Amino acid sequence: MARTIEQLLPRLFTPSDEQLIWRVQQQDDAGAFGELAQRWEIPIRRLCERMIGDPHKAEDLAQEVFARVFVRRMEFEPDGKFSTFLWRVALNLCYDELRRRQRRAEFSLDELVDDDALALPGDELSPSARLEEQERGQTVRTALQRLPEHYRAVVVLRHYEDLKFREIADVLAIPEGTVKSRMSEALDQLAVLLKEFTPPAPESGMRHKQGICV
Amino acid sequence: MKHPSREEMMSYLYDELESEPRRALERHLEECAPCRAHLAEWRSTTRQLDAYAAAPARTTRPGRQHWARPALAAAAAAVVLFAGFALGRSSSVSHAELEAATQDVEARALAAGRAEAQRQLQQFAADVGKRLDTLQAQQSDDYASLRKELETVAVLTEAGFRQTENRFVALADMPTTVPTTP
Repeated sequence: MARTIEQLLPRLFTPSDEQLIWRVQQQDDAGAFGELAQRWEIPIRRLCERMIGDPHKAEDLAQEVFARVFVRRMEFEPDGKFSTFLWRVALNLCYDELRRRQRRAEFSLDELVDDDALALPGDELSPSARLEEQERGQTVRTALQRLPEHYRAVVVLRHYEDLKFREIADVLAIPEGTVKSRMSEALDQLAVLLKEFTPPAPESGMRHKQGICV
Repeated sequence: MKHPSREEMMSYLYDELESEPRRALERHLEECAPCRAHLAEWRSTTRQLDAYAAAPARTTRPGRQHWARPALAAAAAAVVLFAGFALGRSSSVSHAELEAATQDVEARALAAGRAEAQRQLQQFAADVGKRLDTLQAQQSDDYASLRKELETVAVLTEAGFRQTENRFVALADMPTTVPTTP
């Protein structure tokens, strides 16, 4: 029996994503699903956060993603990549959430973005540098939120999650060339948006300029 | 002069071009100021994107799921199962009665709906059966304690699986129970 355990352990502890989801499909293996969730929770949360621009909601959404993946575990095709399946489920939930927010926004003109919720950069920065960094991050977040969703998805997957254009094409089920042209279009739009949302530098602040003749 | 497509430029920007097309594109960039300017603009935009770091650490909030727990429960059940096998192997008992005991465990495992446990138990029963052919005549008073052990294993395993199953049910229900922010 000891021999069997020795043989079993390495296989138990370093399985691929695909082996794990297979075990979930075949045996409803809770351990395998827990392992998958642990491996992917942070990337999925990051994706949700950047897609909807709200870290708190993103956390709930990430949990929903794994719940949905579990419910739909049988839809995963064994010849595919688990991560492709996972990103797709996550993006669809993000789209649903954005749709819900859009509907709510029709009744309320409140800004959807929760400013306090923005991630703080590392502690190694001085307070003023940190503030500046935070402002830059906020500008990017606002600009991303103004980007059409299908452009935003490409930017988030390529730039932030480092998926290859080919993988993004698989996730979105569109041709690779389309992914690349969306990316270039997204970058063009972002350049404009970033300029628009970048706060004016302190020395050219409106208050100080008000009395000055232009 | 043929300019590279925007798609090619994107592949170059994200370092996805093979070495040959990459060198060709770099040669073009050396000669073509408009393409260089385009690329510089895109690069500057991507650098700005880096300022947006997603929340690094999870915030602790009530109602969070703990993913490691089902894994622990399953692992614990497996360990108990294996320990039971090892114990069982160290005792020698009458063939028929042990078979009855393993069948009992098997029945419980089946009831818990775990094909894996069942497979392992069958294998175990076969292994023990082989050994017992040579040990059949020996003492049978070990039997009672072994049976008890096996039953404990079965009960613990079943409890572990049930716990895990409950977590799955809770998990499956989650989308409806997750509070939506107004």
